[in-house]
Amino acid sequence: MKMMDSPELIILDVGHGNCSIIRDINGVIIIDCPTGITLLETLEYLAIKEILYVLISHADADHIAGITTLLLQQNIRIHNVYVNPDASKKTDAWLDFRRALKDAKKRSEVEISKLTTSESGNFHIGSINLEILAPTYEFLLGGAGGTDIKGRRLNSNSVSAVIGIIHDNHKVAVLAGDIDNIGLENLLESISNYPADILVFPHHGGKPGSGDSKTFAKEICSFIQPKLIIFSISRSHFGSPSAEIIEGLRFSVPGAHILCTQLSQQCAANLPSSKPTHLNNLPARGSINNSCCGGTIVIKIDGSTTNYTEMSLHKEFILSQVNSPLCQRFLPEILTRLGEEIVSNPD
Amino acid sequence: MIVTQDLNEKTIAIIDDDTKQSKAIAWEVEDAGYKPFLLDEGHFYNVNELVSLIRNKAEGAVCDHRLSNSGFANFYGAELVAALYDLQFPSLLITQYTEMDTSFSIRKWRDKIPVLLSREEAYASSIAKGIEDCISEFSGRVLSTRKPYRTIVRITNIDEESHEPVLDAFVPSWNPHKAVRFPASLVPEHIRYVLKPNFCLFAHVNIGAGTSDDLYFKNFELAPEPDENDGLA
Repeated sequence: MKMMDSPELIILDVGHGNCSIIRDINGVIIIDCPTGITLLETLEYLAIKEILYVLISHADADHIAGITTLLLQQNIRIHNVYVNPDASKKTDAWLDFRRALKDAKKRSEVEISKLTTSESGNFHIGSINLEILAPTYEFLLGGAGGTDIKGRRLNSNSVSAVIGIIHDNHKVAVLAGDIDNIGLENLLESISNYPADILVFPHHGGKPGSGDSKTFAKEICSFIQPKLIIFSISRSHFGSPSAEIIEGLRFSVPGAHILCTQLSQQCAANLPSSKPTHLNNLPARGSINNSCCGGTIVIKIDGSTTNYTEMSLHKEFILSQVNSPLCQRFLPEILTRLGEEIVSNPD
Repeated sequence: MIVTQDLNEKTIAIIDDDTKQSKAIAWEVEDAGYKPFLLDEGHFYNVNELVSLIRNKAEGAVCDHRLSNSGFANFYGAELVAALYDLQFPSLLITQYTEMDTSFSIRKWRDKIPVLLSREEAYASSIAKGIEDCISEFSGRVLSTRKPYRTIVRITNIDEESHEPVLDAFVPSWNPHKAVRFPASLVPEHIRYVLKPNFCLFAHVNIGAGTSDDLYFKNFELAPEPDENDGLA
């Protein structure tokens, strides 16, 4: 594995889907595996051959489909897989996953467990702790396709796992999977607030189930109070993130920096003609056609001083290259002016 | 138009049984900064014979896929490009029958065809880039669209094309919604005889490919049935 000076949280640009890598000198954790080769390319780029934990937030293809191919790579060893076992058990994708698991077990032992607040407990690599905030075991008993205790219909998003990342007793990030309004309501009943620096926004900023988008965004952002909000989206998937979500989150966290992995068509009808200079060298799905906005991002984890070093460069890119950035649309006037000043006078 | 620098001394063989088409390609090859060498006459019954001739006369090749129409050769251009690939000789394949040929007569050798161009794409810039991509692949810098990964291939249908058996399959890690056709001869004989629709195989596939025309398949294995006691049933 290539060396690093501090633990890292890498949010990959996988198009429409989610995938994160947490790495430390003591090991690697992957959270969610969508289709496509970005994860495999990144593991190769970082020379990662051993993965301590793979956590799958829920069984939608844009979160689980890539685990099959990952398990089939003979040069990668996976020690533990935690899956959120919802109603997908009869699908071809689930059977493929089980076939790949059998194949991987022929090479080395792979432990399989359920991903819930009580069953999986917390995870540690080095000084990083991962806390499973949702779903609770009781909530999962209803299962996707069933109902919760209040009689509301649950789908795979309702029971999506939500994972908190903690370093040095500081809450660094929340990876919210695809949790919807019912799942969030259940989460808020067990934890009243969970302030963290970064939120990977659920469901790629799309509609949160049957709930109102603006209210949902207000609630989840009041709960986490993030300084950086990431939307893992594909440019070709029009409508993500939705304007209602952005409006709602601005109400709760007006100063938060918003970053989409790819440049939404809502923000720019045309792609930039030149290659952006704010992106790092890690593989990103959007790099092939220049459709990255934030691209794949690397966050250096360091307790309360955790930071995303390219944030000011990303801001500059948005303000100078993007015609109608959705992330700037509902900003209070004072913040808009400050942003323009930063671009005109970066020092 | 991209003009390749410092390549004026390099000769590119153009193998095409249609004289008119080979001359049009020669113009593009020249515009790309190479010296064209036309190979559009004669009769070749052995791939190796043509490979030797090309290697003696040129440092690269642009080859049409259908070479048998006028009795020029009794093999496909795809087979010729694959033979040149084994010798690390940069070669591009051109076809004007893209959709008809890619799933069968080209797919058979697709892993050894780094660059496939349709006739209307065969410009100086794409030829120059294609030659560079070949050289890059030979040196180990394989494009993400060409890199194979071991993955699931789910057979959906067994059929016949040009009197040869073909398989239709889904490669979920590439695109779970689009079936792809390939010759059954790519699958080892002992697996081929037990194949039925809905059977799952493992194979090395370049799942980063942008289109189904670019997909190749190799190293097939029979995938196991899931373990009934894995706790996930």
